Amino acid sequence: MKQKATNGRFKLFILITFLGFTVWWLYIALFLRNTDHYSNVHNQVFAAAYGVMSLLGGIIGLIASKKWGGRKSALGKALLFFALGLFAQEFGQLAYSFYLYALKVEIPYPSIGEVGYFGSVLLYIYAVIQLAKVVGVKFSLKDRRGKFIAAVLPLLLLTGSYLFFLRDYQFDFSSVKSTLTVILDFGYPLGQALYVAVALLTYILSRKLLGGLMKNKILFVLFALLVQYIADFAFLDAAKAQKVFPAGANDFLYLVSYTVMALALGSFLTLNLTPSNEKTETASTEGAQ
Amino acid sequence: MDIYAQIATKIIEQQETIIGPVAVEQAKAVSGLKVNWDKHEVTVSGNEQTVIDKLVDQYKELFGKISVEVCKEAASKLISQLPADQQPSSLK
Repeated sequence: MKQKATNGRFKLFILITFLGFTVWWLYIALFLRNTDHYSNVHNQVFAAAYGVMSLLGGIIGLIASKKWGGRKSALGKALLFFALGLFAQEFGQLAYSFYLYALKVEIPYPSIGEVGYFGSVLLYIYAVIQLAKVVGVKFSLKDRRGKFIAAVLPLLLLTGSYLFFLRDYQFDFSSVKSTLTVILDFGYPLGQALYVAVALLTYILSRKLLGGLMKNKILFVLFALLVQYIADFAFLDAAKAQKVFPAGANDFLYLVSYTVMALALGSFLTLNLTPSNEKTETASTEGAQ
Repeated sequence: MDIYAQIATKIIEQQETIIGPVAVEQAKAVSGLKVNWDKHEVTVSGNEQTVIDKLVDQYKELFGKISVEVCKEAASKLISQLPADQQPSSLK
């Protein structure tokens, strides 16, 4: 009962925070659209502040991870690394804002912000692999169909991502900086394609066996990853077209993705199970009736 | 330790690697099963096959059929040592 109330309060807090940021973003998008996005204080503060949602999600993820065994269990590790992924995103947000508003320079690429953003991609990949272990993907990999899907799906997504973002890529290995740029230019789209591929694989391969109270919680996290991928994909696409600006549509998409992930991780804070002796009693009462 | 207690221990250990301390909490909620996990001691009382079935059911409530597969895998070596009529039905 107490757990349910805590869960309800946390959800409400997340949703109110999301609503507050949404109203603010709509104000910027509708009433300040003709101002300079880089010098307007609303754009600046919104872009620097909305990452607080990923911070909240990260804290919630840490608490949930502890409940499920932290580093000692697969589910604990999955939740821990999703939480670290969210913290890494916030680090990236703060680093970019620091360049723009404290140093008042254009964000260099690569920059220290990449430690957060690219780090989050790697952390999400590890987290979703742990989640795949939790839902027993290995049992589905025993048959041919499972093996085929596991081989083809990631390949399709990686190829699609390569063709969309990197087909006409001009390689430049002339300096350390340019080499790092090449690694990141490939690492972002392919890494993101990889975490969403493992998420989709986890869903497809566990569909028939996964059930019980945890099913919706697991599916919620996989959905959150899909939303994160949409936000990442849209950002890369807009960055390619040089259409990214503070408090733009991409920032709002990230706000949505952080919110969904925070709610998904928060769903692991509670577990309402009936002890087996109570179930037996209920069953015998029902039988008597 | 009798074989049913060993089966229960293996199942709890395996579930613990997946869901952490919740695995032990769930085992403690099963009637007929006494768990002292600090000492890794498990005692099964009453109809032992039924108690193991209840333990498997307890985990099944969490993840559905996947939990049953995990339990089967964890107990497979011990189950094969039991005659068919003494094997818990959930692990056959």
